[in-house]
Order: sequence, then structure tokens, then C-alpha cells
Amino acid sequence: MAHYLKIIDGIVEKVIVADADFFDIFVDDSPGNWIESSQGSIGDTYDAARNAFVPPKPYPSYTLDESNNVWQSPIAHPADGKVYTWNEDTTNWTEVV
Amino acid sequence: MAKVKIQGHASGTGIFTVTAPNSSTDRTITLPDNTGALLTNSDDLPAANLTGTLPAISGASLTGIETVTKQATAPGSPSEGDQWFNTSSSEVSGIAAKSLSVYNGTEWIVTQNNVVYTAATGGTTATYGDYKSHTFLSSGNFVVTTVGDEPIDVMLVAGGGTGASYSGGGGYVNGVAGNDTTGFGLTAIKGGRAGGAGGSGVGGGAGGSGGGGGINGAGGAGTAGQGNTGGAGVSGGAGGGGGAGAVGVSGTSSINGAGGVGIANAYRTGSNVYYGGGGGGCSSSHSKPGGAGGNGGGGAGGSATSNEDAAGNGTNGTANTGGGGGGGDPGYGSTHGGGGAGGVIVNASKTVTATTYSIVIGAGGVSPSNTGGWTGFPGNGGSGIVVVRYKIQN
Repeated sequence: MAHYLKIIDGIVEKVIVADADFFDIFVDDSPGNWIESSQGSIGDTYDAARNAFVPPKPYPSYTLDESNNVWQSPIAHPADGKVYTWNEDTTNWTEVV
Repeated sequence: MAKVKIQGHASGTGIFTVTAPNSSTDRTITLPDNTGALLTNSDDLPAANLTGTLPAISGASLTGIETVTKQATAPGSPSEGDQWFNTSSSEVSGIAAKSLSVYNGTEWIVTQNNVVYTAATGGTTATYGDYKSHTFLSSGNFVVTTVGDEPIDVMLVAGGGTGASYSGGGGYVNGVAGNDTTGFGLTAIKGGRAGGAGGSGVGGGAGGSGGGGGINGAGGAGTAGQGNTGGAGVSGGAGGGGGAGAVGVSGTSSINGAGGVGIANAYRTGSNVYYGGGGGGCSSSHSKPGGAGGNGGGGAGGSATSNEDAAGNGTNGTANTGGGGGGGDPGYGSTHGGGGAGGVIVNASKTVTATTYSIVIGAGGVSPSNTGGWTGFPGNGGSGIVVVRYKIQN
């Protein structure tokens, strides 16, 4: 049993649980192709060159850390124990009071 | 030449006389070529002597035996106990075609109904009571080889959504939705993603059951007939994911919301199992436990007691329940909802034909931040399941 992802135009559209031989009998005439991977979720972009799945970019100012395929904020999250949210207008963290 | 010898008995005193009938025809009686006594018309026939091939006996010569009337109309003036086989290809007088009935003194009632039971292949089978079940933990084909008189029972559960969590230096991320499960022309809707704390008012996503809200975020909407809304979140209290049986609990400043309970179903083994529990919310403040996962495979929210505490990880939804994953946080005190449960469809009267049905099992959501290597990641959603059952006897 493994996860198989339907990729359409580079975007993950569906993830199913199946055995490899399921695709011997499964009829899927819709566009796109299936790949096996334990990673990747609906909405992710599939980077075939790196065989990596990149989630949607949360904010325009964020940049992708390709070492783990996670979007990083321009400024690191404060580690003072307070609660913050990201403010894209100021491209900084705003404390939630 | 063989001879005939008549011998008296040394002790008896009776006189045995051989008499001729009143006839004018010569007769010859040949004695049997065996040793034994003669059988008279007043003796019982020994059962042990009934061996070999018996002669054909006409039923018309027998008496005291109930007969079955075979005709296409109900017999007139019946008596209690009379039997009638309806030879018609249609129902007659309330008796199904080609069925045997008996008259109970008032009406004809069926004594033998030609019940046809469903037969099929696919999945993992089990039998209990009058039922046979087929369970699909992964995608496959359900092949109906015989269509029964009664419809079949089906349950479809979609994959649950993940909780939300911290995502390293990038702050907080929403959860990820699960995936639809399909079969028999039905679609169980994927569990909704949880809301994170990436911005104020981050709600849970809609789905079969909705994801729990992050900080100041509403719970995601559920799908009518399949699940319920996720709980809302506030600063310091995350919402639990919606469950198939109840809404997710909303967070408050003092508690994290529990995931909504799933629903019980006994199709698989005859014993109830819960499916579609929502994931618990998480807002770790080093003393506040995560919300409990809903009964039905929902994962609990994380409960970090210090920064970078692995206990802040959300619990995964249980595989093949559609449970939502719990929210996670490494102890930084933010607010992350629980994942919504996968939608649950229970259809107890699904009509099928003799064909092949493709069953596609939706995967649970997989959080991208689980690959990041930090603590406080959210629980993944549980994968879906399909269970089919039908009667094999009454």
C-alpha cells in the first residue's frame, strides 16, 4: 500500500491509497499522470527535476528553502514566547495581544 | 429329479390342510429355491427384506399423502394445510412467481421464497451473522457477480485533514486537506485543513468535516450528511476539527478544542467502530494540553511544556478512519486548529448491478512541515476506507 498522486499541469490534484497493481485495472482517462510518493498534498507544486513537492506560497515576500521545501519569512519568527502573526504589509511579525 | 416332501412336526398336534380354490383352471405353484418360512397375507413384511431394487410404485395408488397442486391460479375452496406451487411467471394471489405456498385456513402464504443473495469479490472479506463484508483499506475493484434481491450496504470514508502547526523560521502554516474517497457513484468529501496562525483570523478549511480554526479563525464548514463544522479558535485556544458525528469544540483562552466525535458503524465485522473523528486543537502555553482527538481516529493536539518540546507534536489521525490530525506547536504559544475528519457516507440501500465498481481510497493529508525537522509538527490525517456488506442468508 502506498500513496499515489495525480499531477495535472504540475499541481497535485488528488492523493489516493493503492497498491501498484491497482493501476493495471484502474481506468483514468482524465489528463495528467500518477506518481508514487509518500510526500505531497493537494495544491502542492511538483518539481519533477528535484522530485520535490512545494506547498502554496503563503505570502509574496516568503522565499523557498529548497533544503526542506518550506517557505520562509524574510525575518525569523521571534523566539520570546509571545504570539505573533505575519504582517505582509510591513513584512514583519506583529504581536497578537 | 427334485422331490417334494411334506413333514409333520414331532411335538405339535394341529392339522395343516392344503386346499384348492374354487377354480377350473390348472395351476402350478413353484416353491422358492431358498430356505425359510412362507409369508402370508396376515404377516408384516420384514423391513430387512426390502433390499435391492424396489419396484416402481405409482403415486396415484398411494393414499394419506398430502399433494402439491401445481398450476398458475390459486386452487379453489382450499382447506387448511393444502399446498400450491404457483407455476406462473408472475405473482398470483399474492404468491410470487415460481413459489411454493400453503393455505393457512385464511390465505395462501409463501413457504419457500426464491431468495437471491448478492455475491461479489474484492477487498478483504469477513462473514458474521447473516452478512458478508468487503473492506477496502486501499483502492481496488468490487466485482458484483450475482445481484441479490436486496440492495447492499456501503460506507465510504474520505481521508482526514492535517492539523496546523509551526513551520520553522516561516512561522505558522495552515493544515492540509485530506482526499476524497469514491465508489458506487458516491464521493466522500476530503477532511478540511486546519487553520494556522499565519495571520489574524485564519479559519479552518471546508470539507467533509471542517478544520478547526487557528487564532481568531472560524471553523471550516462541514458537508451536510457527511460531517460537521470545525470549532473556532481564539488567541490561546485552538478549535478542534469537525467530526462526522459532531462539531469540533471551539477553543477558549483556557482550553484547546477537542475534535468532534465520529460516527459508529458495524458493517465491517458486526461490531461498532467509530470513523471520522476530528483532530484536537493546539495552543501550547507550556501548561495547556492539546485538545483531545475525536473518537473515530482523530489525533490529539500537541501539549508542549517547554520550547522545542517534542510533546508539542500533534498526533496523526488513525489510518483508515478518516480521522483528522491534531494541531501542533513547539511550545511557542501560538494557536493551531485540528484537522477536519474525512466525510462519512453511510448508504444502507445501495442498488448495484452485475458489474465492476472502482473503489478509490483517499489518502489523509500529509503536512509539508513534517519534513522540516523541527518539533511541533501537526498530525497527518488518517486515510479513508470503504466497507461493503450484504446478506448471504436469512
